[in-house]
Amino acid sequence: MRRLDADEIAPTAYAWPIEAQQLRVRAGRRMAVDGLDLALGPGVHGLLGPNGAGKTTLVRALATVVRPASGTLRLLGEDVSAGSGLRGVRRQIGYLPQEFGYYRRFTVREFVEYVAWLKQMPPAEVPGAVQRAIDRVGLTDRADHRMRTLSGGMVRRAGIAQAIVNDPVILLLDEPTVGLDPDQRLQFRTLLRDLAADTCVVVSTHLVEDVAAACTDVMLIDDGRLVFRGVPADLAAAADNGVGDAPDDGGGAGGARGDSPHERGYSTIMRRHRRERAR
Amino acid sequence: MRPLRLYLRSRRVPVALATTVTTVAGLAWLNRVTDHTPALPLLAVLVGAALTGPGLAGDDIELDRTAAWRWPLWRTVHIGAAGVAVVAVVTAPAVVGASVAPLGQVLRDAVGLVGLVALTAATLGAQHAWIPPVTWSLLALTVLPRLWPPGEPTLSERVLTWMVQPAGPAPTTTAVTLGVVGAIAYAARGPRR
Amino acid sequence: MTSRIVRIEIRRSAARWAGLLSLPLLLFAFGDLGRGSGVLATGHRQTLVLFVPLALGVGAWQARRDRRSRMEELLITTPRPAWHRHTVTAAALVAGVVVGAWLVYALLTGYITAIGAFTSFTGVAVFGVSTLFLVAAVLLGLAVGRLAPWVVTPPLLTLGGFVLMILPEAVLPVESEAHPLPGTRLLIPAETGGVSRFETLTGSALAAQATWAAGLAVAALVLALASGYRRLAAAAPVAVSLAVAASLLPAQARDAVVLDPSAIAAVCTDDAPRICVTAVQRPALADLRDPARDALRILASKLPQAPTSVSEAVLDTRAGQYLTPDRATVLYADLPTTARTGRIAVPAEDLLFGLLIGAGTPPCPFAFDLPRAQRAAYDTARVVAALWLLDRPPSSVPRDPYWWWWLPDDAALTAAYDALLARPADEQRARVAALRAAEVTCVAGDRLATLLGTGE
Repeated sequence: MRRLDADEIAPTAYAWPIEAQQLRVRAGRRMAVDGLDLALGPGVHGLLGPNGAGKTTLVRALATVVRPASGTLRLLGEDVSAGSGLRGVRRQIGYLPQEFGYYRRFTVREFVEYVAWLKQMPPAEVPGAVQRAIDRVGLTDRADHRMRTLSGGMVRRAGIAQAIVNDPVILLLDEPTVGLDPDQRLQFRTLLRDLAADTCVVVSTHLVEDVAAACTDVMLIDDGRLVFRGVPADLAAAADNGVGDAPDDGGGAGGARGDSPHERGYSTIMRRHRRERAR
Repeated sequence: MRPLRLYLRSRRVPVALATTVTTVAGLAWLNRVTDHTPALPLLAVLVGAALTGPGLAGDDIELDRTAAWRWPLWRTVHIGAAGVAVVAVVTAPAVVGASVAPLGQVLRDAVGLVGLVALTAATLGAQHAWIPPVTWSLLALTVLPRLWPPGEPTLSERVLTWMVQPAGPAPTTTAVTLGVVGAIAYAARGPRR
Repeated sequence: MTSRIVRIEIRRSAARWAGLLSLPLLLFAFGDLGRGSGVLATGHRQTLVLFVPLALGVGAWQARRDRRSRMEELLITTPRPAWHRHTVTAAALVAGVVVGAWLVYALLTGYITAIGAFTSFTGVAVFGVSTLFLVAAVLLGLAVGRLAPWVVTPPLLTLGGFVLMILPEAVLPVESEAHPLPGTRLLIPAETGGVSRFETLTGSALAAQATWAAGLAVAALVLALASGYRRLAAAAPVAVSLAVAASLLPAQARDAVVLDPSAIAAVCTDDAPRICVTAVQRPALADLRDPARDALRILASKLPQAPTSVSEAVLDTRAGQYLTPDRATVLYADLPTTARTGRIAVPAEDLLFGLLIGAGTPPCPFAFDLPRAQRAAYDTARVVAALWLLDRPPSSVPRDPYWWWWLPDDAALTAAYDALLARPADEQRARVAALRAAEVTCVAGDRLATLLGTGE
């Protein structure tokens, strides 16, 4: 239990933690995010889509790593499209990049503490917050081991720990379950469900099952545009059995591809979207 | 030829080569201008050897290891070619009349130092490969001779400060040993993480 | 909180390597420690040609950490300004360099004190200035490493730094009478001013060096912390410190060198006859005592107005004469001591011989500039005086190369010795006494003529 100060329980001055209108973000020469409209509130929002769809670019834009090329992006009520005045916003963001780099010589505890310092957390709160973050990801027994002695999954969990150490209002996780074994994935989903109450979490992943199990909200992105938004049940319901659709990919028994309702829903929606675009 | 070209690019050899040529040219000019500073030949070879270090490992060591090439042979060729390149670049200024050092000395220093770079890459990793040759050479140029009384160098002094000794059997043997051991270690083990 | 982070950085960054880079100073333990800690500090200053490049390399290596660990993406999303981070890293590195250097210096000074050699306060000041140069180097390495965070930066910066450090000696003209070194030479980090173990730099020269080094360190810090055009602000501390240092330095470098009072202070035996050495030569006193007393006894028995004490003559190179005013003592200079322990390096009887050369006087400064033939005659006269006092033949002259610029010519020695012995005993005594008198006052003249009575 930690002490809440007045700012935190005061009603917010903004409607949505993450709000975007006609967001366009460049990645290299491509316009990776092309006209996206978003309004995300507390909850776990899963981000699904094929490779190159712009998921990572979107997450990077939300993390204020890249500036939008055009459109507006409001984080916690602040307009961040201009790229200035970001300090206050960044104090309340947690980010786990897809390629998570870390100081190999630091121990887990030291690394999380370092990130807590980087996020300008009040010094008195840091030791408790660090311990809590490490406990929540299940690295308590490895807390004083060096980062380079950790396996891939543990490194990922340490990455999640540094992202949640400052109890962020916006939590951005890019491929957080890479390398986690099934048991750890279940623990991670529990963590996400805990966070859903007061944090706006955006999870970008390829694993449809993770999205289905832990997310309150699913977004499908293809080619920089939002293709589908709804609860996971809607995603499963969108799967159809191929009735009335022209067969376009050879093989398969005419129905949507996938081993679970959500996967079938995903592939159905994607196929439909691509067919509509091709027209 | 294409695999070779891709390999060289993956190891950033063109950049290393260009940097070596530029730096050695600068050192050769300096040698001319300052009327032969004694340490410059060794420094030129050191620059070449240090710049071969990063090229001994690609960006992803694990990925390289899974390639279906005969890596020991490939790595031997790489380290041999690196040594030859260093010798060539350092003796090239002699062609335009700005000789840096006699060929024999350059050859000895190159064999020993490149071998040391390879040995370090095999044991400590390619990014650390420059540290032992540079540190050892700088120590030998400055404080290491204090370990022995002044006068005719003893055998131990000739071996431990081999890169600053004039031509002789002990320094040459040390250099050749380092070269061979380093090449074998690198060819057999490859670069370490 | 920030202190915790600094402590983490000290533990986990390259700070330990910054400390370890001073370890080669321990190699000095195999050389000159018998000469005292002043010489140690001066030697360390000369060896900055090694330590500064190593410090540059450590700094550049540390600067690559963010690129190497691929943490840059995560670091962008944090609110704390980048210069906070860089300050913490810089603080850790500076702490490492300073603590490492001073630990090694303290260790070696402890050893020096243990063997009874000379510990110098001015040496501490000189070492402090050297440490400032090291701090500047490690910060500059950090700055350059940030500007160019490539894999090749650390080795190229190390080697480039080494070339820069050895360049002054190769490029700048050597000192000579016609071209004295300008005072600004003392701004070069590895320049010691050519101080001998009896000398040190003046306070203002040391202050000038300290100001210059501090200015470099501040400029390097600005370069390491700032980004973009703000880096240009680093020019200010360089300009200011250069101006202040140049104003404090004398016009000629040799004017910045003075005799160190604590180094030339006399250290004497308690009982009579008093045997004294300079503080720098203190370890040699025990070995010197008995041969010195023998020398006094021999002189008392053979010469009128014999001296009653022995002390070391200190040469003031600027004034061109010996410093010690009281020349009615046996004086010697250039005691043959080993550099390692400071004890006498030759057997006692050879030391006795050396003390009696010139009948107990050091060579006069005017003789240093004599052409070779005249210098040979000068030395021959002095050696024959010793042979006469000890009543030994010319063949018994010690052949230890430690003693001689060039070995005395046997034929000349024998000729002079026989010529002296051909005189009657009273005249021999008078001649040797005249030689001693001439050497004591250092009048110019042909000592061989004085000794043999030819051409008065």
